[in-house]
Amino acid sequence: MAETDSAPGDPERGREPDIAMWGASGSGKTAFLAALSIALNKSRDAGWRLIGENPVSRTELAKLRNTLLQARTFPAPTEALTYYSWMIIGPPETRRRWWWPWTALPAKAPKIKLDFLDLRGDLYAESESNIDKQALITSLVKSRGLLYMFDPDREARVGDAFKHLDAALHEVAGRMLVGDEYEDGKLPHYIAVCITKYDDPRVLRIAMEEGFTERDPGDELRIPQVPPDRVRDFFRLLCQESYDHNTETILDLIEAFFHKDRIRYFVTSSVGLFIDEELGRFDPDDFLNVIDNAGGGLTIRGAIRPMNVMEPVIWLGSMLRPGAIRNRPWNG
Amino acid sequence: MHHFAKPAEPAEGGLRGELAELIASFRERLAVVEIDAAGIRVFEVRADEVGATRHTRRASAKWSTLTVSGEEVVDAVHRIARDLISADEADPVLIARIADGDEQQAALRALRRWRPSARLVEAPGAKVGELLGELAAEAPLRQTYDLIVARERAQDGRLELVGRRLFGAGARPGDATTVAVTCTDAGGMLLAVSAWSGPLQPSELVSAHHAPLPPGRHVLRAVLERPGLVRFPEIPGLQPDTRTWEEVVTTLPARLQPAPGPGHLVCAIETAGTREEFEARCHWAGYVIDVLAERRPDPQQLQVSVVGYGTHVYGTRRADRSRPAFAVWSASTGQARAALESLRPTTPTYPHAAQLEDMLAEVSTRLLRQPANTRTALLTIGARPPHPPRSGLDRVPACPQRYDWLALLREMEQRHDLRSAVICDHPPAAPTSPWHRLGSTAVFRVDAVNAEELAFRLGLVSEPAKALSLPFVSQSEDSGGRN
Repeated sequence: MAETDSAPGDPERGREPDIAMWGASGSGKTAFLAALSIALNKSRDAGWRLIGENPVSRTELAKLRNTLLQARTFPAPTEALTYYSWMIIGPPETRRRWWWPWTALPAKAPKIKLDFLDLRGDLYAESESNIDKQALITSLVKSRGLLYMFDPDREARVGDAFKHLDAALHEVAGRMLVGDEYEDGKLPHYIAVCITKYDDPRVLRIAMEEGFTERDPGDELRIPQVPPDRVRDFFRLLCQESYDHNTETILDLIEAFFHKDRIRYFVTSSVGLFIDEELGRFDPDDFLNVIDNAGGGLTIRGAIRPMNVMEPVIWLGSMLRPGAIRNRPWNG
Repeated sequence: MHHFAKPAEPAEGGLRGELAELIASFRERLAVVEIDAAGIRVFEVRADEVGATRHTRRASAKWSTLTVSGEEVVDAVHRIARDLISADEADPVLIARIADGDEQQAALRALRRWRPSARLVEAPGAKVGELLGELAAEAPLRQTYDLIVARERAQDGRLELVGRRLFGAGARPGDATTVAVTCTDAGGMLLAVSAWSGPLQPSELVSAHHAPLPPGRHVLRAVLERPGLVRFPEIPGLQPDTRTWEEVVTTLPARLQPAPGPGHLVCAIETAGTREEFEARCHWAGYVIDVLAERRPDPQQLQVSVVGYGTHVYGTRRADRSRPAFAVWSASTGQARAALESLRPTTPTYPHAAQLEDMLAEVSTRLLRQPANTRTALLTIGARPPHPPRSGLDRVPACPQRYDWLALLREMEQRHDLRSAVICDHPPAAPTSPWHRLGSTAVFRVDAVNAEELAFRLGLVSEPAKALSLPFVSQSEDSGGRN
């Protein structure tokens, strides 16, 4: 792809976006993006990288990484609509022709295009004429993978997720389902529903006290995880704990608009849980990795161990490029 | 007109002796009639409620005035005598004849007609009014004078007021005595002298003065200046107390607070914050120490410790193991005051909690070596509550050492009968704030501290509002008081 110094952000430029991002203000979208690069680097399944398609995107990626890794705090909330043209590039796979398996073709690296619209979270509730909102809806319509960010902590305090999701879904459905293209009446997207801020004490305590967590015997850090088959129920429970009664219907709303087999739920954390290095394992009495600092902001206390940040992206990629990404540990 | 052959001085000497005897012995009142060349004067001498002799001139008339209406002198004087001089034979009458003549003879006849027992003293040149004043000041005490003191009733320990004898009846001006009492209030004590007209009949307060004496035992020297006036010449700064006796009594406690036993105050001061915040905390720590130094001057009875603590450091690879800084442990108030000056403000490294729990752990360990009968008090002055042993929904990280501040506090309360008070920079907002538990004895805001009240609530001094303002005598000292 040709490199350009133009502002990252013309969704009409180049290839259609693979994945669009979605979530209420403060739901952790920017932190998720910042953590994504770190998560790929930390992945034991080496070889996956996140790169910027143009200089501005690369600069932004470096800034986000530095904010998390060096400044040990979080990126400032998104103030304006911003497009990032990123690409996840995987390890090259050797290919062979089925009819001539004795000779390998040149290795080819799988690529997932991430044209993330990182935008102010409350933009979804703006009026129709808002240019940024139109751009967002266009992005959602043109993408085929959606990352939906749900912040249980914010929902317990503010409870505006339903308002944002409901407004955006009806906009997208109005643009896509009025014609005959999608006869089954469902949106064609794959959607990764990401429960963010698993490291928040309220979220983790609910998971642990309601019996949603398990320990992976192979995990030497003994971090409690919500198994994939229980995440949907966990999500429903968190919705029921919301400040807003309407939030209880979010799961039904998602399943009404999307094919059930194209929905997957993830429990994520951009920075992960605090692990005392002297103890060397998860401590249920001391897991806060994000604490207030004396300057009035937030500080990341310990090592950054993103949880389930790359998994939803890779899952979406695998669904959108089934030929390119297959049989990986994170796939499925 | 007749002239006396006797010289004037012996005549006044005779009058002085007669009057002195009568002033010392009269019961209700004494009438003294002065007859001189110009006319007649009638004086009445009485003793007031405290036994001081007072004289008043009841009548004064010239001979010319008495006869101006045509009345004879004898009749006019008889009328005056009838009106002003008691007919009771128990009330003595003394006639001092300064000059002689017809009017004087007539007056004498009239007085004798009214009171035949009246004594006549020839006293040429004497001035009866002046003589009465001199003799009243020289008269022996007609009542006993006591210093009012408080003592504990043997059966129940309640305070009762009794008198400690200063001067008995018959004491003369210039007599001196001493009395041993104990001052229990740092503000001094009230020296109230009461007169007793009989063994079971208190009469009146003779005087009440505030003596600015320090707490402790004092031997007071009292001098009878004259009846009605007792001085304590060796006490500087005596001031009259103008309160009524009822007002004085209402301020007295029902019981004397037991003298506090050995005490130990631990002043824990958060050092994290601005210089102004830090100095305000240190100011109150110093103020409380000063109050204790004043109220409990015996260094053997009170020890003070000073410890500074800051905020934990998070975000480092190794857990923060920093410890509170003990500026001084079990020292005198003076040493504690100096140690307080050695503390310095520190930059907060975490906003919502401080290493208060580490301070409690350290204090708890050190208190194990303390004698069991010591009244132990903890005064925590700061802004931030302790870290919890487990991080919770409030997002405050756990103490790196996992100290449990509540368990440590309970342990010290049970083991040492610890009393704990706090002075907070800001009032604790939530009812669940640890400050309420840490300040189970008292919670003060840094801008509204009553240091005396704080020291009292911590059990380190006796009740400030109900201090005993009267001299105190113990049962063993009280030999001869009466009530």
